[in-house]
Amino acid sequence: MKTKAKMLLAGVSGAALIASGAASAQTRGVTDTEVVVGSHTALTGPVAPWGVGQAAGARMAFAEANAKGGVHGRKIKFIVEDHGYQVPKAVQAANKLLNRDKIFAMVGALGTPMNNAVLPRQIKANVPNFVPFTASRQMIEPYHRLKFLAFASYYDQMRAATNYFVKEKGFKKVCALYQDTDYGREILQAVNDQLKALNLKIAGESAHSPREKSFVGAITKLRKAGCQVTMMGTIITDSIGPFLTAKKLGWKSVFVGTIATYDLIVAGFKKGLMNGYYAMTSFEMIYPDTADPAQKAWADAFKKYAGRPHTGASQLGYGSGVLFVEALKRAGKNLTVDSFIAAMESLKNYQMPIGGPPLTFGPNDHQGSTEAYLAVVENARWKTLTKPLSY
Amino acid sequence: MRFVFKTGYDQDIRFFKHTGYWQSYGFLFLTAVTAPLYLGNFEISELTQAISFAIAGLGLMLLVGFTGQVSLGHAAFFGIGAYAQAWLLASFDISFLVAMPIAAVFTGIIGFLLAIPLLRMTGIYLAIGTLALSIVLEQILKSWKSVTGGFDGMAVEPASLLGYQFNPDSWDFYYVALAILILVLALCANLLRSPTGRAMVAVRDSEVSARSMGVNIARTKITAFGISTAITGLGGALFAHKLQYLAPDGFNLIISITFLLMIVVGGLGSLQGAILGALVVILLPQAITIMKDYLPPSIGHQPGLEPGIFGLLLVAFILFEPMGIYGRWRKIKLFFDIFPVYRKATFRRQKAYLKTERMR
Repeated sequence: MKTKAKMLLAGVSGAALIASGAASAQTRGVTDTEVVVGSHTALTGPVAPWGVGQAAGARMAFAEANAKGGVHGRKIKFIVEDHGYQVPKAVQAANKLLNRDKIFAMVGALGTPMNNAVLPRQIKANVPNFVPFTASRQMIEPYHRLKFLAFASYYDQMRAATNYFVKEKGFKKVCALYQDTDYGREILQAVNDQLKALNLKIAGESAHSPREKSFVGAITKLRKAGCQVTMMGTIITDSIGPFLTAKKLGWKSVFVGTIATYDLIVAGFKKGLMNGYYAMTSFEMIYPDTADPAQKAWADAFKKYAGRPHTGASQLGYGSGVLFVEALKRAGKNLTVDSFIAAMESLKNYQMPIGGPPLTFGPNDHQGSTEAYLAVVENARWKTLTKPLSY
Repeated sequence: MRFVFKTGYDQDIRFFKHTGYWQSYGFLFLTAVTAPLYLGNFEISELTQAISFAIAGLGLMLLVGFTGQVSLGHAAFFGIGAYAQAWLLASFDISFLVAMPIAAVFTGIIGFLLAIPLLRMTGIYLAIGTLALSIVLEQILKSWKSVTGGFDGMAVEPASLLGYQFNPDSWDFYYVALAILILVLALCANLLRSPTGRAMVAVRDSEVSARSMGVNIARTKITAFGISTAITGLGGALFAHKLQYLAPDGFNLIISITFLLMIVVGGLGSLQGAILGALVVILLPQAITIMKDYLPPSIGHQPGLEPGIFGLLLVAFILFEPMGIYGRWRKIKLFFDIFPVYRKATFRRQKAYLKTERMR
């Protein structure tokens, strides 16, 4: 009874808060002085390093815009909720963002299953899903006017990679090593589709569970199939495992991962053990000792803002924030969901400050780019090898 | 002070012993029913989630609080209920109200069968045995792709009745959940005054004494486990509709521990405790999250702040009020009931264990 009474009090005050907020707003989350933006991401749990870095990057982009007086007089209020990479917590976080904070847009929500769980209610509430922090094809397909993706999906990346290694390197035997999940199967699909377009067939494939530790069997199988290049539908540990197993068994072959493996941990693993590992990526990693003055300035600014060095995730988070601010600018003084979508669709050949291929959106095309770079680990650091590749 | 005048034997097993009960629970019921009038969608949605946890907690309470058998595997049954519900709706053209009892009974049957070997163990060994359930089920959910969608999870068909589609984040589904909760509460309360329920409590207090009174220990324990898992499964089925999307990570060991924590914080050995505990476990983290928005960024943007504060509060709670929220409430009530002669010793544990039973 006592708790109930307290809750009642809290509820009444909460309702009053909501009512006072709603009175002056035309579009949800938008007033003359403020636009409320939310994100559900992993600040704890297995992928916390990504979530923390990405949230800090986006925060910095919004802080910069706010320091300049906001966009059209509106300051951006960015609310980040932690879901620890768990679906039920993501749903709870989304409930707060959608129903309590009344956000205008979701920016950089992390995780494919979490996005899948939140999207139905988010679309019902007419809240754009702006550049989620996952490159799964499901974030853009099927098309919906509220869904936006900046860069190439995993599918696009691996089709481009397959195309490159067959056409440019003359490889005939392409294989796939993937985790048996939606993510892994998306990569297998990409390899199969591209090989079909090139009149080739997949030479060998091996599936594993995401927690697999031993890859001797998988590597032996692929080696027997004579794979010249293996496309990896893997994340961090299951990319390092097969690559090192092949090295240990004395098999010299090419392994190519997605942007999910384009990570400082992969490149820096035991200071050089991963040398020669390839990955597709839609942006170029900035190292703190970069020679480029603009990049150097950004890296320093980030360190000053967040109190720690940036990661690849911070770059992506910052990029999504800057892109969002650009869309707000273009949407003009009268900000509604429709004017926001129109503004996004007007972006042509937009160059992100963190690098990456130029982004072009349009009606019925809410994916900025389908191109990706090929990078390789050299001296425990990522080195970009090509211009953005397509297929 | 109130004196209840006894006029019949039925009075002993009445739900509401005197008018005071009618007043307080009537007020509580009215508060719950009118909640959508003064609460927003956010609060209502959180309450719905708390209700689904409360139902699962009631199931666990029957087992832990009333039969004295610990389980670290109830997230597994929560998950079985949720997935069964999603699978039933995806495979057959039936109403969600029909699917729910089927999912619950199905979970109960699995629980019943598992109980036969499991409940040969007691105490810490039973905890380990049930702990394995949580781990095994997570693996099954990840591997049995044709039914569960594996790692990627599966979408749950929205709950609809006669063409009306419920919004799980809104007041309409809240009433569905509330109705189910009241039904389950009545069921549990009724069970506890039946011979089966009395046998459960007897087993909890002393197996030796229970056996000497003619209670079939094995049968009582297994029945309790079956009923407990069925109710938890029902909570899971409701939770499936609330979530709309199921993934194996929603039913892992952490959820099992959350359930246990919920009933301990609420107050072991009382149905009210399960509900109070669910409110704490669901609403407290959200309250901390909201509070975080008002803190300066240097503190508020610190990752891991919510689980940290949440854990700290729970530890403090268990240290200072081991009898749970409902235990505290009973103390406060008694203090005013018998003012000014309240003695601290009233709630000191009276039960003397047999030496052989103490460590089990």
